[in-house]
Amino acid sequence: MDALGWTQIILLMGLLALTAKPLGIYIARIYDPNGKTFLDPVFRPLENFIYRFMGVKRDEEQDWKEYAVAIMIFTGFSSLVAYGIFRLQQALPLNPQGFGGMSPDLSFNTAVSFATNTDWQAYSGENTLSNFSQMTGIQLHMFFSAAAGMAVVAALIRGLSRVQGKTLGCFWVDITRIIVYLLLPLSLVLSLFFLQQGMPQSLHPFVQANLVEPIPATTGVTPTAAVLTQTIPMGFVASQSGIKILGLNGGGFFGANSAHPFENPTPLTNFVTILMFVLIPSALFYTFGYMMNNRKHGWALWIAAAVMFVPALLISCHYEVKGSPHLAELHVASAPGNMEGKEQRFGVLGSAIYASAATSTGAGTNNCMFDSLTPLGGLVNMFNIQLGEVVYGGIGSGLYGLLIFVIITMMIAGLMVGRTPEYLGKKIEAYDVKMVVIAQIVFIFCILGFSSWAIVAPWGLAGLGNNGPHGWSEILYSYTSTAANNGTAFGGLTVNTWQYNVTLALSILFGRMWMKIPVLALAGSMVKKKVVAEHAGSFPVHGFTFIFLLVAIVVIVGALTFFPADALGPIAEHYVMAGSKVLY
Amino acid sequence: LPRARLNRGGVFFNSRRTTMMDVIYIAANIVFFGASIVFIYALERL
Repeated sequence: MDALGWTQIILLMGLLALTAKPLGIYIARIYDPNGKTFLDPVFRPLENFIYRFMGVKRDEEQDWKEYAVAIMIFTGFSSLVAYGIFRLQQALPLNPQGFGGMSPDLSFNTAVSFATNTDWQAYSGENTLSNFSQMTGIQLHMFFSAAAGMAVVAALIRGLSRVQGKTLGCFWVDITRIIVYLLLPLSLVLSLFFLQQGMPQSLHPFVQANLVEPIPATTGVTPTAAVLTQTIPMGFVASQSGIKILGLNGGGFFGANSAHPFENPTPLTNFVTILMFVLIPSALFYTFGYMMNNRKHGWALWIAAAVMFVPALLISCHYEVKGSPHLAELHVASAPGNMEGKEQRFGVLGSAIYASAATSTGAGTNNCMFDSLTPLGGLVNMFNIQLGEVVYGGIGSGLYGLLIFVIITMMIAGLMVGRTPEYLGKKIEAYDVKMVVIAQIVFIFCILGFSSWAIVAPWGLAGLGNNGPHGWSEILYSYTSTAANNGTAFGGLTVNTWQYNVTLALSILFGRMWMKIPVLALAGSMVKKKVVAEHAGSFPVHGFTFIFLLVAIVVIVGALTFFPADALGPIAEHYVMAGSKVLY
Repeated sequence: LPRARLNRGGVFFNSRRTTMMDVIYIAANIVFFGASIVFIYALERL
């Protein structure tokens, strides 16, 4: 790896460490319904207006069941609205290209995907969606779904921090405050930066440009006509990209996502995007420590995530820089490594770091073709997601996913010394462990269950772009990405069929919603408990032993669960590549 | 919205099949979130 690669990684981690505290404290104030922020003079009237409009009282709280039902109703309603928008877009305004409605199965898949913060795309935005659909069906849900994820973690923190209580806060207040005080202002600043860097922001129809150097007609077996013009797609790309990245939604205005020059115009936007992927998840670890009045624990979680995040970046970069061994044998291009499927503007490292950061967090957006990554470079990205997206992770879902592993860690640590396990002074009992296990099983089933079905079903095999281990990787990655609400696509697989659209939508729905429910049930159980004072037998939740045990549990659970499936895909492909005379 | 406008360039309501598909997908959405609410109360009793 060259100096530029090291500089990017060091700068990234340095900036994350610097911003975690101030942003973490700011988020803690947002999580307090009566918390004061420096944006109160601007946004307080808007917040109050929303409460009046919705008939919500700031101080009224919900127990875990009411909180969870509110999330289900909110997400269910928003996915129905999105479905209607996509189906009816031909009759709705701001459709200068005259796009027709999406097919029913694609509308279902897309609506579910964006209402749950997954943002998996089985379509290309520039030839499918009107401006109205992009604004209301896509962008609006990027705010809603990101805020819903952060609201769940707010409820879980309250469940752990309150003593012998009943309620976890109010979902409607939480989601309003998260959008108004955090997502809206930050995405506005980010969008203005993107605009300055060259992203378009326009409601005009697509532009037909005459080529400076027309492509002449060809004759022969497959004659082609001369190409004199090019269609340049337009849209409000800058404003959508802000929340797309900040809310870890992903997706993209264009089918090529951040590989498109209008959606990621410069190396600077590429680096800022990577930073913004991790900004809020990183700060949430500090928020947790701050609200629990145990900042050392917050930092311990941050370091545990870093201990997994940085090696994943380095391994991904290593294999992409190394490229295919057969190129060296042929004395072809010793230089940049595996450039297939990558943008010249970002190079191998700009793409590998981006890919690893996008899959460690919940950002379902690419700036390169994952299908063209080296087998082990692709494995790192898939394994990042298979860990449960806890390596900083999705917005909100990263922290509550890691806290599930912390409960498992504390349970195992308690069993090791023969004591009733405790976490932050609260005893971990059978019900809590059941909720943790249900959350894990739902996730595992969505990935392995649906992938196994697709690999033996005719409809599953029909979509494959490649045979052998690579084909299995394509299927496994798709269900991994959807179940974990990541949304990045491996590529190569034709997923816009009704069977894939429906099964991937179900993977998204169960993976997201049925994981949130046991997490909220865990919060509801924890909030009722007494706090036991720390004693000699308490396992400290900071320091080397805790971090080591937590990282080991996360990696071992992920490896034990998914290693057999990964061995049939990218790992087998790596050995086939190494032993083959075929140029990979 | 007039029926002709709804059909313009699209498929909504233009055949019995697509209307049936719309009903199925909308129902699937409602059934999933309804089942999720049942799941919430089932976990409470666990």
